[in-house]
Amino acid sequence: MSSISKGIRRTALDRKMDKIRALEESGKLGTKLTNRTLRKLMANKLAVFGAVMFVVICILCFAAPLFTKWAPTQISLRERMIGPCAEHLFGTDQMGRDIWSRMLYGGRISIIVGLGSALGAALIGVSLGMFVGYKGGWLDAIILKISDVFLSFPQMVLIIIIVALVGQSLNNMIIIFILTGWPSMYRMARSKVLSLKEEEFVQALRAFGISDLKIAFKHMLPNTVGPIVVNITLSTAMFILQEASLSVLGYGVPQEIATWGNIINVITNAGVIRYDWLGYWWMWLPCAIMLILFVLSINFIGDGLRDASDPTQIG
Amino acid sequence: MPENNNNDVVLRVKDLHVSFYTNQRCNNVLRGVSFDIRRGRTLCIVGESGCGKSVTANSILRLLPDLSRIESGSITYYKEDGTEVRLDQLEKNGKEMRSLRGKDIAIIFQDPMTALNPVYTVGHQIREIIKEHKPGLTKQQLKQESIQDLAEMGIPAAEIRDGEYPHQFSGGMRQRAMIAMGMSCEPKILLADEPTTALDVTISAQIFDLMNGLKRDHGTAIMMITHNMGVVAEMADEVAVMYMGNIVEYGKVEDVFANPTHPYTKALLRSIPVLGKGRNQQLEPIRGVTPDPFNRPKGCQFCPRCDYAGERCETEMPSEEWVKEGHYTRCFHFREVMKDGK
Amino acid sequence: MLNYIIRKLLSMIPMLLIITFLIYLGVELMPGDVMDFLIPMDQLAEMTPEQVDAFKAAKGLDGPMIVRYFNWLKDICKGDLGYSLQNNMPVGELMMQKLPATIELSLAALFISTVLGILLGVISALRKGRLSDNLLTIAGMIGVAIPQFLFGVFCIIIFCLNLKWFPVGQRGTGGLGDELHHLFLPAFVLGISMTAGVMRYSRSSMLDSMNRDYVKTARAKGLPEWKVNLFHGFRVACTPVMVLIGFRLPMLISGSIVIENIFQWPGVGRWFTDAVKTQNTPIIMSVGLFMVLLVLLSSLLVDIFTAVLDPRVKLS
Repeated sequence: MSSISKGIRRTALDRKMDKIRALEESGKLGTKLTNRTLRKLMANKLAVFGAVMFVVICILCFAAPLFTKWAPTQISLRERMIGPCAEHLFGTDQMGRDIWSRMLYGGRISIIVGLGSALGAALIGVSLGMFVGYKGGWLDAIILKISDVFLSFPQMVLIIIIVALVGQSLNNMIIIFILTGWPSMYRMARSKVLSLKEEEFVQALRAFGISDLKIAFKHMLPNTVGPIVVNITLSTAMFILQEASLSVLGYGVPQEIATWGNIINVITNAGVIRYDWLGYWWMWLPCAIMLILFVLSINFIGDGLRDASDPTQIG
Repeated sequence: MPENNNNDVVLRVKDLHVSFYTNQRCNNVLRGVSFDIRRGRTLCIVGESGCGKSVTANSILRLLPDLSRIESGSITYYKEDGTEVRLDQLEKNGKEMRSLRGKDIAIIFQDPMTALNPVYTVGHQIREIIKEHKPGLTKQQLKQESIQDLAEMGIPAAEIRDGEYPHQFSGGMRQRAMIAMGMSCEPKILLADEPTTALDVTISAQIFDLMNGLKRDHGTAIMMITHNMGVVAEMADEVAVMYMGNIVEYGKVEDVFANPTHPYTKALLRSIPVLGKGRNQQLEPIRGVTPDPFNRPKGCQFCPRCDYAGERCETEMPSEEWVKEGHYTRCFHFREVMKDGK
Repeated sequence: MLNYIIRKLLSMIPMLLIITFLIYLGVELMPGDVMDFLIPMDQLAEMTPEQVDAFKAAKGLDGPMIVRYFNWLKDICKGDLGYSLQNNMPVGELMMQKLPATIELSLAALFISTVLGILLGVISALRKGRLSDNLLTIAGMIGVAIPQFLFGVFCIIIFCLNLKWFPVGQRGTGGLGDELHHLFLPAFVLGISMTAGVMRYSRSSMLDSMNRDYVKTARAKGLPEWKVNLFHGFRVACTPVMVLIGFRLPMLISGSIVIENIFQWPGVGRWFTDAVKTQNTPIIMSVGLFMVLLVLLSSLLVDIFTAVLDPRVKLS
């Protein structure tokens, strides 16, 4: 069985197949015993790249004092809007604050806002979806309706209205993100639970008389961890983007707190681009790139996790 | 290999090797499969799931998934005008292959629910194949043909059924529609991939009658894939028993059933109850489990589960040995197996 | 079919009641007196306290909240959305001025993202694992990772300021050509993140569809590949994609708020953010209500579309 069928065009795929076959025949491809999810994740180059980038940016931000000597709030009116130099890696802004330092310290806030909101929304949404979705009945119907109401507002509109009602602050921002973010988590968990409910192992557990709470959290939750984790990563990315968008409109975290959104925001004034400041690229471009890289890294991770945790996908 | 190339043979598969390349691994799914399909006769391929039955059928029509390929061997189709077509050398979805699909060789799949497209009416899906192979028919004629095809397969109120969607059909009716679709261009060969597995027993009996009728009236050659020995007994003229990518025994159904020469065939026959033998039958399940396809035995694939296994079986795959004309086996110890009787 | 639509419409009513109530709650909670919103300010200033009380009684504003809510609802149904706090103009009238610009922008963005997204997604699926698929996938992920306003800024810098292909912001006024010239860039920027989403989803939906047995049946019939892809693979894959597009419409509307600001587009979104800044409650709430209506309407459209595309959806 050595000769390949004749007369057929040999493609790159064929060559790849030849390689795999040669390896297989020499017995080099043994069964790997490591965790399948981990293995698939490691095989996904983008996911690995994303994870590395994620860790690097996190270290830079949370260990900021190690990487910059400036405080993000230190104003120096004599050094306003100077370009990148040895002293200031990415120059200074219109108030003479060091941009690099602001990027790092601002990253802390942005990451905390994004990750915290996603975790909070997941905590509420998933536990509601898990337990109430599993129990069903009137409580489920009510919560479903509530989530319907939330979901029928365009998210940005809802956020802006709530900001207008409660005022701007860092804590409010996180609370508002959680408030507007839980319904989609709830929906995801609920639909997963409803399909799991029909599975035979759950039927069997019920027949054994195991309590609903225990079935929901001990037996069904582990089966939904994959999509939940994916959803948390993607929500984190979404919230970070939203924070940035909101600060452009002037409804984000208060201006005086450095966040990625607020730093990039120097190029806009009340939503309008300040064309005269676009030339001072160091004031916004490095931070914009950092934000994009961070969101991209989260998306790569989330995507890799999605592929890896989906047992129906082969290859 | 039966070399008597009389005009009956419409399709000859010879030493076919097929591999799958999923998960960065290479799985040799077919490891040298040979058989003939003859006009007006039914060949049953029987074996457990994963042994390569469906892959065989899909290789003939070149419907294998992207990450797989025919490594070696030949599939030859003998046209009525005497020309030979090497199916394994045609371009996968090329013009020549397409002109044979549906027109000369048709296939019906296991689950008619998933095999019919849910968003088109059954009639439309039948007309699609007629349109492809008999261009130039008017809409009226097409419609007439599709209704007639459905009616011929015993679907009542075919005019109405023609305009209905697959989900409005019952399982048996869907499979009839599927066969109507397969037979609409009167193919020479019908490949049936477990056509009744998803159906209940009475419905399958009706489907089998239908297929026997086609064989009788049109001289269609049928290759039927099944895992059910009962179906083999009922339908087959020839039978090929497959195990882990090899045909381990091939022959006329009477010969194979009366004189099983491969331990696997024998074990299969022992593991099913026989109607009329009473309730005190000794059913023997086959011991052991099917090996992992990535961790195959070196020699005979059945060796670890075989009662007759000797030293040679562990290192060498037996080649095809002729027991008598038209009956071969892949076992070193087939004489002993035969002597022991059923 | 008509029956189905009517039933769907009726089923939206309780939802609408809840949402309008919430919005009304917002009106009540907003700083300022409700009276300010109902009467143009200059008139209000000239009214005596007695007159104000009489007006309140007539409007039922002294009644319990639930009564006040229904009065408000009645006014809205009559098209009376209150008066803008800034220039005393009726909000309804203002809305009519702003609406066309927003609808134009959103529809253009929807068109771009649907066509481009589906096209690229299907190409990506059919060329799975090849270079073009990988490039498209990465491009899609970058498209999702860039904040829309930033993408807008980049596009303005490149296409407007440097290449000077498009005018910077504003809506075109000089005929269709000029309008399209002004419309293209904001619509493209608004559509881009949705394009990436639609592309991704089309790809996976198409891949899923192409793995189904009916595609194999279609091949076994001898159909040429393009027919297999289009009439069998894509035809089934497009239903879930349409559903996704319907559900993403709210995001498009959210995005239009930002984009209208960046591109100085005189639509509802910019009007809304201006109103929030000046605490112009009647406008905030009217726009909120309008956007919710738009979302509900689009979900209705999705339902109808799915029913048309998929014969398995039962109409009863």
